[in-house]
Amino acid sequence: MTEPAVDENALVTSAQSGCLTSFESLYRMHSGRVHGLCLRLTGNAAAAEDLTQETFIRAWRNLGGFRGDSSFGSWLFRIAVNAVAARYRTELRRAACESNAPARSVQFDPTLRLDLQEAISTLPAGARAVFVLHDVEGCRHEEIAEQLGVAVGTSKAQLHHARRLLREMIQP
Amino acid sequence: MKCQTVQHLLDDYVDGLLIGEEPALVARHLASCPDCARQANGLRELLQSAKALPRHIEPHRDLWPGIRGQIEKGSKRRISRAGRFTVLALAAAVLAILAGSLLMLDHPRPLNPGLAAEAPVRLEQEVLVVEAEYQRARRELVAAMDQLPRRLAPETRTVIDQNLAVIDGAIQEIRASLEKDPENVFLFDMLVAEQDRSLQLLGLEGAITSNTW
Repeated sequence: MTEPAVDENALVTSAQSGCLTSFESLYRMHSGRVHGLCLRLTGNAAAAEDLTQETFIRAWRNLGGFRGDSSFGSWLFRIAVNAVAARYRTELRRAACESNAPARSVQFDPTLRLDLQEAISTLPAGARAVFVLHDVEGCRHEEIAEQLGVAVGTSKAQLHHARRLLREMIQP
Repeated sequence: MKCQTVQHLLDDYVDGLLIGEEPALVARHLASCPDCARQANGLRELLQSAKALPRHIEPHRDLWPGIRGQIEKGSKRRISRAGRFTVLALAAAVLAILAGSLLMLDHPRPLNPGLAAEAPVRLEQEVLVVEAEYQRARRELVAAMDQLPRRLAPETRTVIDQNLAVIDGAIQEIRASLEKDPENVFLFDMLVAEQDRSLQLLGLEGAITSNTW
C-alpha cells in the first residue's frame, strides 16, 4: 500500500460512525489496490469490477468490526480474497480435488510468447489464485490455505503447477 | 542428488523453505548440472517478474456510484435476509391455514428496508441476530408441521431427515469456525446460506405434508 496523504485512521473512524463521504475517500485511496488484486485473481475485467464493488460493500457493512489490529488496507485485502474465494468456491474446490492428479498442460500456441500478466490470466482458477497470492502478493501457504479453504499441500501443489505452466508460456 | 529430486525441490529451494542439508545439496547439484541450473534461473526470473508487477490497477470506470447505490439501498445481505423471512412468513402462514389455523404464528418481521447509510455494525452482532432469527423461524416451522397429519412416506421423510442432518452438520462446523474467527465475512455468508437451505427444506417438507406442493 502507498502511504496515504490524509489521516486514514480518522477517515475510518468517521466512516464507522456512518459518514459515506469518509468512506468514499477510503475507496479512492484503495480502489486501485483492491481492483488490481481482483483482476489478477479472476483474470476477468468484468468480474474484477464486480468483486471490487462487492469488497467495498462488504467492508462498509462490517466496518464496525474493524479494530485497527492490522492496517485498513490489509483488512480490505482479506475481504477481497474472501469475496473472490466465495465467487469461485466451486472452481477452487474442483482444483483442490485435482491437485493430486497428474498436472495437465494448458493448451496454448508455443510460438506465441505471452507477457506475464496475460499468461497469469490464462491459468486454471486454483493455480492462478495461489500464484497471485504467493508470488505476486507475498502471502504464505498457510495464509493462502486458510483464505481459499484448501490444504497447505494443495496450495503448494497448485503453486508448482502454476509456475511450470507460466514458464512454458513466457520463457523461450 | 538426482535431477528428478532437485526439480521436485526447486520451488522450496528458491522460496528458501528447505531445511537441514537440503539447500546445500541442491546448490551443489545446480553448480554441476546446466539443465537444472537453467530451470532454477528461469524460476527466479519468473518470481522477479511477478514481484515487479504493478499492484495498483485502477478500474476503467468509477465504481463508487454503484457502491454508494448499494449502500444506500441497504446491504444485499440484509435484503436477502429480509426476503428469506418474508418467504418464510408466507410459508408459515400457508401451513397455519392448512392446519386449521391452530397456530397463531409470530411472523418473522422483514428487516427495515430503509437502512440507507446506517452506521456499520460488528459482524459478531449480526451473527447473533441471524442465529436468533434462524432458531425462531425453525421452531415455528417445526411447530406448524407438528399440527399437520403425517402424510409423508417413511422413505421420503428419511431422505429429508438425512439432508437436514448434513446441513445441520455444516452449520455446526461453520459456527465453530466463526467462534474462532468472528469477523470472517466469508464464514458469515456461508452460515446464512446453510441456514437458508435448512429452512427451505423444512418449508418444502411442510408444503408436501400439507399437500400444497
